[in-house]
Amino acid sequence: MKSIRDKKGMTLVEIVVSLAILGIMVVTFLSIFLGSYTVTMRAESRSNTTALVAGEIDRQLASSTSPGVSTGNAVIHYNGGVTNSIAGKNINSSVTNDKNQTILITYFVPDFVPEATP
Amino acid sequence: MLSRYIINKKGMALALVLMIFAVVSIIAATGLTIALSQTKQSVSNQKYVEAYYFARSATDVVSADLINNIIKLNNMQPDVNSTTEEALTFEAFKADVDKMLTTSIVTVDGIVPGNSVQSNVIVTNMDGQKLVAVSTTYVKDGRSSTAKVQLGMISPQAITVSGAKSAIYSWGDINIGNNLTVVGDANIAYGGTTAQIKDKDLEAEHSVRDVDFVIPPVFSGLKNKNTLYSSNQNTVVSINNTFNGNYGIVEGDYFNWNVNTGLGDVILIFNQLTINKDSTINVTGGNNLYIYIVEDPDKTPDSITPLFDAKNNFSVISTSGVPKTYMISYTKSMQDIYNSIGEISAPSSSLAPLDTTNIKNSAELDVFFYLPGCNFTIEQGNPTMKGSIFAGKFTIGNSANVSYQSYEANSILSLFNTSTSQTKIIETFVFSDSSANIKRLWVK
Repeated sequence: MKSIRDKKGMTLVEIVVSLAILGIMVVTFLSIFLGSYTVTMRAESRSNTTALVAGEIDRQLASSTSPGVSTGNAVIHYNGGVTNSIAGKNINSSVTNDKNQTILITYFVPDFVPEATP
Repeated sequence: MLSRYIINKKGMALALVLMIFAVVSIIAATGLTIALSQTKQSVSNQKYVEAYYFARSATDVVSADLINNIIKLNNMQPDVNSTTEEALTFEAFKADVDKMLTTSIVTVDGIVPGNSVQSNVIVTNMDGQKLVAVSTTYVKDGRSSTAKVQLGMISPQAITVSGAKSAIYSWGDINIGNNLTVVGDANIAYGGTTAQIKDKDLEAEHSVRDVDFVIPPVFSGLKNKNTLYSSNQNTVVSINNTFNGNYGIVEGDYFNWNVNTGLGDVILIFNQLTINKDSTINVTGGNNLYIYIVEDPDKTPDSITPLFDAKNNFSVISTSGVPKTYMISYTKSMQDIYNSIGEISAPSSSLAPLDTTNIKNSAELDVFFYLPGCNFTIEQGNPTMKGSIFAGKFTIGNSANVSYQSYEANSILSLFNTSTSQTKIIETFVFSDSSANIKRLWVK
């Protein structure tokens, strides 16, 4: 028994200091890892939402009955000073995901109404 | 032994802690860098997708404007000898259109109201039928994105067909057996030299019609050696899309093939389409199924001869009862003819159909056929057909049953008539089989 008590070991101060350093390290790196995870999840969510919105705009473009939210004119500048204006409507697709990220895609669909041949 | 010696040294604990700290720091920094990189990538992807659709919009705008103005110019056509104000206006407008068509870079503003989006469309190929453009869009509302998009736009061919109400029209001779039934406001017409119709209640109208191909059809991208494999109960779902491949349906008999046009037109382009016996294509949805049989535009020695061959008892059935399928074929021989002289008026000795479309026995076809270069043959049996048939030459056996609906027949003409032309954007194709495998076959 005496031989065990005579053995040198860590003091309480050493243990406390070690635990303090360990705690600081754990908290610091855990927060970094958690932050990285959160950022990665937000990036994934943004990518998924973007793909979803792109698919939705494709679906609207394929549908002949897709509603246009507004009308406007696109201005086309050709060489030689020729400038034309063509009317059309904007089709919007917008989704806000659970990360509160809003992705909006706008497409301008020109009114393609060729004049009838005589 | 050495490591034990080192670890037992005084002060080693601090060194060990620092080493562990350094390793964990490197891991953390790496993870953080990857996370931030992914974030930047997702944001960049979002901007790219937004700019991509702006670029596509700009290409749509330019093509619509060009086509509108070309049509407007064609409609004016005053007397060239006139010195009136109208003629001067025409010349000025023609000069403007010439400038448009020779412009290499077109700038488009105002695609998105309230935002500053500018697109430069570089017209790389404008031959009247096909516009391939590269559009670069700059988004100026604090973001800076550039997207390039290359679109192949196939405008319909300018075909002028006078008189639309024909259930059956042959640019060449026509030969029809007994018991042909034609239902609806329709007639049978031909442009050849002989018409033989055994059924006394029917007679063919000799009606010579011009076939004016201003530009031969151009289909790009038929280089893939894809086979549209079809086993039973496969489903094609499409959003304004295209499948292009060298072979069509080749696998198995007695299959049911489903085409759902609920989300948009389905466009299938083949060099060859072979359909085995007792097979059915069920067409559902409110849009149309277009099946093109075309030649390989590269015309290599290995190119596959265009062929549509439907075996016995093949059926194309629209669930709505109204034909929603258009089968359109430009054969190799026809393309060669059009390329050489540009315009044909039937009947013509050069309009010799060399390729045959065979429909055999008990076919039930809710299909509009537009096959100006084909010898269209319905062999013996009891086929039932809805929709119009336009072909280069007809041979129809006994007991054919043709149900004709004029308003739908007009729509197939509109597909080829510039006055009511449609622009088909060949873009993407999604093929979904019964196991829900998705294949994207057309590359943007």
